[in-house]
Amino acid sequence: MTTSTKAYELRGLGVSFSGVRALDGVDLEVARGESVALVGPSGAGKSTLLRVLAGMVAPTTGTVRLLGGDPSVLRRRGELPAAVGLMPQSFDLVPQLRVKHNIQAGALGRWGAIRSTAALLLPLEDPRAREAAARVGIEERFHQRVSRCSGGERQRTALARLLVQNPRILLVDEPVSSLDPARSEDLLELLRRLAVEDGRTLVASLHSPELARRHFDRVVGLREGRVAFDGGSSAVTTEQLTDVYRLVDEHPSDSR
Amino acid sequence: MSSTSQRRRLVVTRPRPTARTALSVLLIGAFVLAFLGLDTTDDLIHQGGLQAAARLARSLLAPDLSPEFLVIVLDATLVTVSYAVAGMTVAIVIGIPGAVIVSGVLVRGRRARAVSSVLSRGTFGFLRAMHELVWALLFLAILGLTPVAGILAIGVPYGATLARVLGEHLQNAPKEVILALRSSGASRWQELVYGRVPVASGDIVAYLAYRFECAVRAAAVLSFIGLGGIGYRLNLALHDFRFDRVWPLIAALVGLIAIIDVVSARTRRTLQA
Amino acid sequence: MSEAPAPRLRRSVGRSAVDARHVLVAVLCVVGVVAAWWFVLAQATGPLPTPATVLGRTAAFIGNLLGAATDAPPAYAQLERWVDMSGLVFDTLVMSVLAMGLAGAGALVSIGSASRLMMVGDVGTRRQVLGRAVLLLTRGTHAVLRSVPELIWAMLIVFVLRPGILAGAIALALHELGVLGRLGSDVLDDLDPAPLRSLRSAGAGSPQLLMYGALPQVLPQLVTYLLYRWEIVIRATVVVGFITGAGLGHQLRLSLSFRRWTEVALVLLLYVLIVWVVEAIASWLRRLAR
Repeated sequence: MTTSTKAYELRGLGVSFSGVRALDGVDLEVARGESVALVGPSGAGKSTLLRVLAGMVAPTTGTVRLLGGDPSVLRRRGELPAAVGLMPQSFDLVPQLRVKHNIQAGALGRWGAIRSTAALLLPLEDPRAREAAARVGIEERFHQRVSRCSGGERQRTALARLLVQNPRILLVDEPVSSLDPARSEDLLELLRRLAVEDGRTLVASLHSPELARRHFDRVVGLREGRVAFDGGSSAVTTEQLTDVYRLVDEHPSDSR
Repeated sequence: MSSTSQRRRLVVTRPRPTARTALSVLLIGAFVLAFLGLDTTDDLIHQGGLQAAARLARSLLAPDLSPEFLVIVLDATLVTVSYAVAGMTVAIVIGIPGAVIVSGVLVRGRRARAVSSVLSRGTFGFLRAMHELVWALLFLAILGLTPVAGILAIGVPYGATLARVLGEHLQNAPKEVILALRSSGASRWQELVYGRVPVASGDIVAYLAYRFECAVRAAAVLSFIGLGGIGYRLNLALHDFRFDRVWPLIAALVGLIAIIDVVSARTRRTLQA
Repeated sequence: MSEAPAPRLRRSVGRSAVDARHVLVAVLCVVGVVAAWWFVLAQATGPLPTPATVLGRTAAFIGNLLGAATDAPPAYAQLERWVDMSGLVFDTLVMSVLAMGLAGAGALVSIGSASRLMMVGDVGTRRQVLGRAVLLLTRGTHAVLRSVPELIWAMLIVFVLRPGILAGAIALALHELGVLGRLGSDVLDDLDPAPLRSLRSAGAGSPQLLMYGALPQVLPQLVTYLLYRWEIVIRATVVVGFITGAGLGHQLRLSLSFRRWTEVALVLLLYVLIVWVVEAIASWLRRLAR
């Protein structure tokens, strides 16, 4: 695709939805292979930023370079799925289909109409889907329908779908918001491992600053659509972290 | 709990009395005017009508349950179901591709989608306008007395209806699921088979079952154009004043519809589980 | 991470790779469809028309409708024929309005006793056994009324009533009462039981509960259903008119049997127009109700 060493270069990024500013003057660089956690209270703009990074939302002002290229150009050329994949907070799986089919849906961009239809109707499977299921630990549910899966199983299915899609950059929206502490640690460890083993860039939004510091190279704090702090996990101070949350709590009215 | 009940109460007492009252007056007024407009110079009940009603009611207690007649009932039921199944296959062959065309989900670009939607809606709207038995009369006039006329009479208008209703189901798939598929590079066709169809499968099956129920009722009256089935036997019984044979035939029809009802409810539950 | 070529799909293995029930249902469906077609086509007394004959004859029929079979000016091109037919259009409309009114009134009276919520349980009547019996009886009646098509009701009714608009309206209303009864009692069953329960504990009897607690809530929905069903009933009215000798249906029968094709075309044209007009009126009234 390109030879840029940067996964992302954001300059003066601003996003507005019908006049309401969600992001405002965000500058951010992410190196390839880096793992970055976005933290901040709800309404700080984490989800919007992830959708911009995924190429699903175009910036209102400023520029976005994705692997050195323009996301909208990549989308037009059909190269976006190979560059970046997003695991949404609600997973957005098709509950009526089996885990297998939901995982294989990650490969649809590379499959033709006949192959994808046959894979849906006949008892066929892609070895890569099976491998991805094994890596996230959902193999024993491979043939089960998603509607019968627990929340954790759905999450792993969505993750396996992302692995099959095989993008260079993994974006994950609030992966632990519905998990208990022990499972949260497990999942973040898994995410981390999947990214490192394949040399992928990882950007995740998180509610918990502690988890962010423990599992990511770098933590970026967002507050009211702006970058409040940005630094290596060891450099970020507890005050900085509590600050992003406390300040907004004092002005709940302008938190969006 | 209290919030939902409050919400419901708000809906009920939402003060829009003018439109509501106007509508009630309009509807009741139309009904009363229609009644007043009736020509009531003739008696409503014709000569011997009461006697016929009494005989019909009495035969309810003594229906013809002889083995020979029950075989006839069974045969008539099978004929009726078979017409319904054959008609529904034609309807599905027309309606499923039609639904995809009407929904415009395979077409890229807003203008192209609008053109395809208007054209297909116009065509199917015309086919849908006429009752299946009017179609039966037309196909009878075209093809003569052949089972094909009955099959097409059910298949053509039902196919058009399926196209419209199933097309709407395909359009209404949750946006997030479709966007998720699109972001992993899915084409329009893949979006359809991996997203829209499975998501709507419960509604699709329920609607097909409902249409099949309607098809059974329609097939039961194909005697209207001289074809066999429950209606044909019913006609014979009424002609011969064999009122005791009326009720077993009606019971067969009612039982048939009840079975379809139960099976469709169960299928729907398993699909959604 | 270079893009490897997509690996071949291989057969899925494992206990639940194939859902045996789905396969069974699919096989049964195919067998059933084949059997049904075979059985239906075996009813034919003569040779079956080929697709080519079907298309050919359809084209010829459309030609007839347009006036190819006669030198006389087509009926649909004569203003006085439109005027003649307008009375039939009016009769057809009256028949459908009467049918909807009768069915709506019947539904209003009967949906309370067809609702599980209103008849049994802690909201239901105090005499549970009686409540259950009435519930079953009303639901059964609705089911029978619904299962039997309008046309069969019409066939039975002309044995009792003088053929005409009212007989047709009653036949239509019987079937429609079954449909509206089911729809209406489902709406009642979906009500939030909490307010009803408190009304009941305040000492309200069943009729009061229905009048003050339940019906006001479901009435708007019922009117919406009534208007939706009117669109369906107007289509069926023509067919019932065939049996009870009234309206456009009666005219269609006459025109068809005398093979006056351009007159058939005019009747069909009026039929489609009346259906579209009713759909427009019904959707306008539904907006008004909202």
